[in-house]
Amino acid sequence: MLKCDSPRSIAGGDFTHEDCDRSLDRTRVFNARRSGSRGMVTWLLLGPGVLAMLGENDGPSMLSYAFSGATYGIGFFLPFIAVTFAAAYVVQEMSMRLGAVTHRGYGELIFQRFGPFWGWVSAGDLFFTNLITLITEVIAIRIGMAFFGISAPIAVACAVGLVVLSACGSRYSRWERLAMGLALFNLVFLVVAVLARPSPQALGNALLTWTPLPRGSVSVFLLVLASNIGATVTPWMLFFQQSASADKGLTPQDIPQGRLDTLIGTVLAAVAGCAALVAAAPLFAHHINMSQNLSGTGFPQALQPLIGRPAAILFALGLIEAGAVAMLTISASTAYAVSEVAGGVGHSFNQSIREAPLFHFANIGVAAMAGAIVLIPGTPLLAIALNANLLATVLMPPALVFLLILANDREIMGSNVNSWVTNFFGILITTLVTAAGSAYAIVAFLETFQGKGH
Amino acid sequence: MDQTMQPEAKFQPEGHHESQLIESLEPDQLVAAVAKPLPRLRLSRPIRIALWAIRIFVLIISVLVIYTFTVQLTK
Repeated sequence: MLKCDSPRSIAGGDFTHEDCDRSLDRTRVFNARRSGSRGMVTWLLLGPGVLAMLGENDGPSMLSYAFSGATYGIGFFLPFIAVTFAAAYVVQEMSMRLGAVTHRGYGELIFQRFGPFWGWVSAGDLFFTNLITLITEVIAIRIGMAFFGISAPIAVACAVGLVVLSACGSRYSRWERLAMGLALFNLVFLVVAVLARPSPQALGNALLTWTPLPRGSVSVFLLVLASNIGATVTPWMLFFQQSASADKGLTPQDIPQGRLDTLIGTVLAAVAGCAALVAAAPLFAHHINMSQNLSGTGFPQALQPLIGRPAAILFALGLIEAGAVAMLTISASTAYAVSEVAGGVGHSFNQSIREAPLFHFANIGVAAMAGAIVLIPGTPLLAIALNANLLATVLMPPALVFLLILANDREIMGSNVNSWVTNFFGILITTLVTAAGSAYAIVAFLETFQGKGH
Repeated sequence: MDQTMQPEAKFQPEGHHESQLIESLEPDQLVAAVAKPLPRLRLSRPIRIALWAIRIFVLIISVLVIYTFTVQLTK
């Protein structure tokens, strides 16, 4: 029998502890495939796609969807959110395929194929957006816990403590299943949406006709539009799903299951995202302005008189869950990126803190840093929460361009390069994301510069 | 079997033989193989220009967003 606790030499190289852990997971997949159990193969390979998608239904994303519902009702933004998730599927399928074929993370590939400059620039972009996003995750957990009377320091300690706890297993599969278990609670927003009693006719009308169209300030509309895009297609998802696919040990043979994993994640996340919008739509119907009411207990408290206390409690719990899952996945994506571009250091959940100190330090450190910033008195939490998704949209185009080049790189992808259909949609998504982020930035800048800012 | 391979508790993969475990990984999936860096991509001049153009564009847009964000904070 094989020992997994010490490296051994095979075929001119080392069979490490990390290899051993991964090979155990792969053996289960191999045995399930050999026995013809397709359901078990799918179950074993489920993970990175579901986590990337449900992880992106994070605190600021759910607040963005809820803000869209509270500001514009369900008209335009219900189908728009569904379309942004379809776009997220196209992008995430590419990153899964890259991870399965190359067995390397996204940061690692950029560093090696484009050189250290672009590698560090991409990692820098990611670190900056992830830190801002993690701050908003802690804010979401704080808002959710404040509804139950839990103080800010305890909420922050719980958020950071979860990341520390998840890293203790030294095993990717354990980390993944813990995060997936938490992520399924994202569907609590579906229950809240049902309790909000939306009109089936209005839902059908919105999905078919995209009406009623949003009215009012152009810059607010563009901010909400860009925030919703940033809520579904973001740089950390690329880093995370590719690195997690490689860490899980996906191979080209697993690409069909990887696609199914991504699709299941897309559908679940789209349902939960649309549900958050529908749940907050009664605020629009009652003309309650939420633009200055996102801090404190925010949405749950505002919704309580309209949809009842049980639904408001579930909304608060949903925010805590959304923030908690994203704390895990976004901290992990930061850790993957930093340790991959550092080169020559461990970057796997299958390695202990001693084996991969930089990876685990980055994972826990960025979460702790976000928690510490939230506790600084006078930090503009509301403004940060509103602009976190926008920042992700603005910084997304370079990440998408690198992804498209890598996914068409025949030298590393062989026959698994993008089809022309994927390239068509990939280029279209890159163009639309660039246009949406730029449109808000330019319009809001001009309004602010002329002293007409909203 | 190697003399160093003793049954042990902590990471003992019960029921799996070493060869089966090693074969379940692709050769290029082993840590030793992944540690070898891939060669640099030879970027054409238009691609290099496009990468720089999009980076400069994103920097300009980021400056606009940060300016707007800062002004809104002071209101």
